[in-house]
Amino acid sequence: MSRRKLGRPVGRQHSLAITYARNGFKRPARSQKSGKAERQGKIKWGQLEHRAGQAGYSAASGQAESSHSYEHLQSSFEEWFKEAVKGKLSWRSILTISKAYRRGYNTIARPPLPGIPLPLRGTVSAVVAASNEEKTIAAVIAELSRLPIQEIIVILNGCKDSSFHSIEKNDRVTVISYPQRLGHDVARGIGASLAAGDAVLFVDGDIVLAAEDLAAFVLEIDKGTDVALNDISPYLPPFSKQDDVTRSKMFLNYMLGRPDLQANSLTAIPHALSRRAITVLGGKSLIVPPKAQALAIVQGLTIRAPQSVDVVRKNRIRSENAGAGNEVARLILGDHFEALDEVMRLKGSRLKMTRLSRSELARKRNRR
Amino acid sequence: MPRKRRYASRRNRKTIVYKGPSGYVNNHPNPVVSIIIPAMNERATLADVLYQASRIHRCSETIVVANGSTDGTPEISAKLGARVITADKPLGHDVGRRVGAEAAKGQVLLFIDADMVIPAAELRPFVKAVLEGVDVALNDYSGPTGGREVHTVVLAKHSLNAMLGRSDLKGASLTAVPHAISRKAAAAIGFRTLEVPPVALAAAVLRGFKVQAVHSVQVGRINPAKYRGRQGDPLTSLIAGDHLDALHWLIYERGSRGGYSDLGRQRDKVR
Repeated sequence: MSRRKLGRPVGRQHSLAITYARNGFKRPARSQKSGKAERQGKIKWGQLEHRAGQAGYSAASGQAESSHSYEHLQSSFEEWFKEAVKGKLSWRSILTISKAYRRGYNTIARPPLPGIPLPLRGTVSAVVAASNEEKTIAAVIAELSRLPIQEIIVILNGCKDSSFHSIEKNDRVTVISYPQRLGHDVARGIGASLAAGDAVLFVDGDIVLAAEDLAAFVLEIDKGTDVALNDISPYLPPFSKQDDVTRSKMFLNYMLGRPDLQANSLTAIPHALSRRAITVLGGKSLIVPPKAQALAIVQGLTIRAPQSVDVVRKNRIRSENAGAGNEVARLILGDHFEALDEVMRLKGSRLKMTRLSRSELARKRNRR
Repeated sequence: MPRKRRYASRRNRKTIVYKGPSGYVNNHPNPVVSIIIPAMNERATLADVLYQASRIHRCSETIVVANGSTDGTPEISAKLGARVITADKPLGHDVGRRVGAEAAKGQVLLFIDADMVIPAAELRPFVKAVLEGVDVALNDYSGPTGGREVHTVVLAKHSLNAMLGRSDLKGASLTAVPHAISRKAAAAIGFRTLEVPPVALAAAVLRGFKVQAVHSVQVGRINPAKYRGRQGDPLTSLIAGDHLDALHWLIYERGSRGGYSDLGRQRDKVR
């Protein structure tokens, strides 16, 4: 249901505004026959969305034109959401409401604001790892700026192009530049240890992802999940055509008793971590993402894959990551070895697998 | 329409197929090929299996490791001419194979199961490969891999091969029969290691032995589904654990990154 609403045509904005205007910004007279849900004091889906639009409209109309800003949109939405929405909602529903609110707000605000307001309890940081990404880095940061993120930490490493200068400087963006190449994972580890937010979102400088997609990860962490992974399952080929890296990712999850995670891994972006996850795992373990993931599973952190973002096709093809058995693939295989080594040290070499003796097993299976 | 019968069907599994008084198997005093068959209560299929074994190679011996049997498996095997090693206690396939391998005299050790009748023509390629210089000749069988999700065992086999840097083997494994090993390789790896087949495979690859998937026998179709427990088959967990053991051994041998590079990560930069 919510998926359909996400894709509702933009034309609706106008009709909403006209409806509000005609009714003198009052709720339309309710008919005698109200629905069952309403009689029980619950609000129906469509109504909530409608109300969000209305609230957005009145929030914008109550302000002078000069004070229409993303900050105001965010704070007024947060206030309204706290009052209007009771109970827990999925991130998809929240995003639908938030967009309806923005639609209402944007019928007045000029120019219309691109930002997405989100009802968050905690603060959010974003970490962008980039190395020679002058073409995309500005767009990546622009997308992140559409979310209520307090700090955007850009870790530039080994940049020989104008990446540094293409970043628009403002008080939300912190740029840290290393002259030498560090590797994406090291850069993310540095970012994680610097970030102060309750949720930390990790993205790369070379793939521009829509703020709508990233919002899911932020909301998931804000809801109480510790590790929010990108669900890449829809983009995978059948098993017989999968590469070694995908298989080893899946193997690690299966062996740690999380087959539901399939091949989802901290190796892939975007992903987000809670403050608790960063404290428990430590910035150092993030250098080897599969190790951090294995530890997260073993330590009992909650791990979910809320949203699918296609980074498989969007990933830039370079000399290091193309073809079978490439450098990056071997690096990731090594990472999985390291992850297994770490958890085997904690849980024994057979992890959760049976220690039933072969003799016992033979007797059990031979019964007819 | 007459049903095409490729292998012995399940229907006449219980009947004792016992043809002729003198048995099929002739054990050569100086065999080239040793056929090793662990068996636990397999009288239904044993005669057929031994018949096929007798047709593999002229210079061969057939060793039946009858363990934990109560249905006369050792007697039938002896009657049919096989060398019989008896154990009162059930050993399981892998330990049974090790026991048979230790007793074998041939240069080629061919391992098959007693509950699966595989025609001799499908077994000869394994023997041939080892005689031609392959050290570990595996069944080129990966299990069903058509979907996005697979069985844990299939995944474990593929992953071990990938992590060994031998993704060309796909899902081939020493866990699956039939397979053949040269005596030289078996002795170098250690017969004890054969008890945990994935560890033996990892050892063979690491010690530089020639490991190849030589011929495909679709054992998934003829292997009878045995375990009908309420929970999943405990064998799945055992085999998965064996693969973890293999990786553990690999980490021990090659270091915590399994011999793969770190691609110049500057780890000390993170505090």
